[in-house]
Amino acid sequence: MPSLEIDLLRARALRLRRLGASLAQRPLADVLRRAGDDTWLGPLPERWRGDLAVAQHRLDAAGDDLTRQAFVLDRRADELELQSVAGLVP
Amino acid sequence: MSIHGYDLRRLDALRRELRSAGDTLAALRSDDPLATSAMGAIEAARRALEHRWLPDLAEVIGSDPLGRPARWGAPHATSWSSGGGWDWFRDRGADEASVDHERWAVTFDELAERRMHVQEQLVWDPENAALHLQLAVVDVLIAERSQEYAALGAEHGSSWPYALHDATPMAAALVLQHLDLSDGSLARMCDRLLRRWHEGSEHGERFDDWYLGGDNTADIVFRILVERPAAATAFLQRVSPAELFLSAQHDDVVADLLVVGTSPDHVDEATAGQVLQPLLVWLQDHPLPGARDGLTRSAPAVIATAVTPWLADLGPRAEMWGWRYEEGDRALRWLLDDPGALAAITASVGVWQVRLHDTPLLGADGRIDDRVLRDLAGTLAQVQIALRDQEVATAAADALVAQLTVNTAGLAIGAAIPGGGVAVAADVGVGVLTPLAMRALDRWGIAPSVEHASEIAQGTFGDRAIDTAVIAVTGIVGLAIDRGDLPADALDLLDLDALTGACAPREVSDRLHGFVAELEPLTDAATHHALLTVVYAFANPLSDAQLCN
Repeated sequence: MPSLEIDLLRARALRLRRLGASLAQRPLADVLRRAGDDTWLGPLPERWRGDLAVAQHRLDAAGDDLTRQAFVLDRRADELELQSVAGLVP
Repeated sequence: MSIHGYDLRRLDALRRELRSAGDTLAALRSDDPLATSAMGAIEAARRALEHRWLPDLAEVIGSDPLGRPARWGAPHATSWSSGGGWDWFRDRGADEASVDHERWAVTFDELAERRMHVQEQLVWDPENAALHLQLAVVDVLIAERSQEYAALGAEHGSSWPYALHDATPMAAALVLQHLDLSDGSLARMCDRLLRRWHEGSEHGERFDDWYLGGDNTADIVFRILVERPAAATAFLQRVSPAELFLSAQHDDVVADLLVVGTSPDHVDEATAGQVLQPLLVWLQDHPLPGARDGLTRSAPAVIATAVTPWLADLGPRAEMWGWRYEEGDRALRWLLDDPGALAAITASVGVWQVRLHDTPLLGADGRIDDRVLRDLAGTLAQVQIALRDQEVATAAADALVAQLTVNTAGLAIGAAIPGGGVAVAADVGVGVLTPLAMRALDRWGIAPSVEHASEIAQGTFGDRAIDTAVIAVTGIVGLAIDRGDLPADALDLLDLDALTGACAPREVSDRLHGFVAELEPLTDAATHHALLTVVYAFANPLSDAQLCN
């Protein structure tokens, strides 16, 4: 049932891409922006900003990874679709 | 606490931002194995936020190590109240202590309980005048107490109606409508209220109004938001689909909220997409309970009216909503397959045309900007093909396509009127058809009026997009004849009788193209360009092929 598999792959890709898009909105960016020296100063705020930046960086990387995974799934679905059209898949 | 200095007001803003980020992170979910690593990063950030960052901030704000009194000075007070209403600010401090929020919450709960009692009786005895009077009295009492509470808060510089956090969601919703909250605060408060209502009381039990007849908390919250379009939009951007669709007793209020919150009157295309696109995706997988009882509207019908002004974003402009054409088309077919949604779209398609009324159709060079017309043509063809594929051949389907056809032609004619910098309303466009043009259309059996839509079935030439092209070309030529820019017998050059080929749309399209080419030496460049634009937008060989095959 290639069409079912294609649909599943596309649905997964869509969900992954959507999650990736949410992460691309950078959920912690506004927090970082508000956590500057004009809000508070000292060792704790300094450590805070470092932790936040690291967390945001990990989320960015996770978002990129999701987009890549979605792309791979879509490619796979395209291939299956082509094979199906060409009659290579029963 | 190793801090050298801080600004308490900014710290509070930081805490709000942090909470908002926490909500955002908490809403991100995926059980796909490929998302495991991403979910790990999200969960780690969420845990750090909840267990480290938020407690850090709470400690600084709460203990205030610089030794200042918790109460803000006058300059700060003016800055936070300058928005025209209460806004989200900070935890209860000394100033709020002088307002006994908990006692107020008890008062509001008592009033809400009385109101629910009367409301429940009214469900079984809806004509009882005495009960209606009782309800009105309780509502007046709620309004008075709410205003007293607001005045007391303002007097003591209290920044947030904390009583609403302590009161039951129903009581809070009833009070909320009488408070002067900013749009953003109202949206946040409504979102929190609804979430709390879903979560239940501290013991995990449902709140009383969950089981009672009449309006529940969600109905009241949604009705408040319907009156505040900007707050409605902000709320819809926050609320989850399940909370939105699985809360209210009355689906009409959900439909109204969606219409108000995504109306092109105050929302741009991207914002409407942020709200409607995820809802369309969610609804296709989650049929609404009760939708088969014959009384409750189906999911497509609830959202259809709101989607209609943005129909092109389900097709030619899909990328503006961040999805692919196929995904938008699937959603469109899901809508058109539902009789209730089809009727709602047909009824509200005029709103879409009103939106186009404000869209400039002429470019800087005075020529028609064909992008808008192409989007219209694409949507029209998409709707036609979807209805044909799904074998929807009802009068409502026919009326929808005919209305799109006639109104779209009207817009094209309006755009071609010399000196018109913007499109005219669709019906005005059709209204400018000259008697000569009307006679020609009559001869070909095309009725340029919505009233006759259902009578002319799928159209004389088998394709309503071609009908649009014929109406628009005839209208534009008729006007040019009236202006003296074309000879009086110019329309006689267009021969649409005795079609012989297997694909009528293709044949009519060819004849229209030939007609426009024949007119070129007889008319001015602007009119010729308008005719070419219309012909290429609506008599499109690609859509002919799709329709004929």
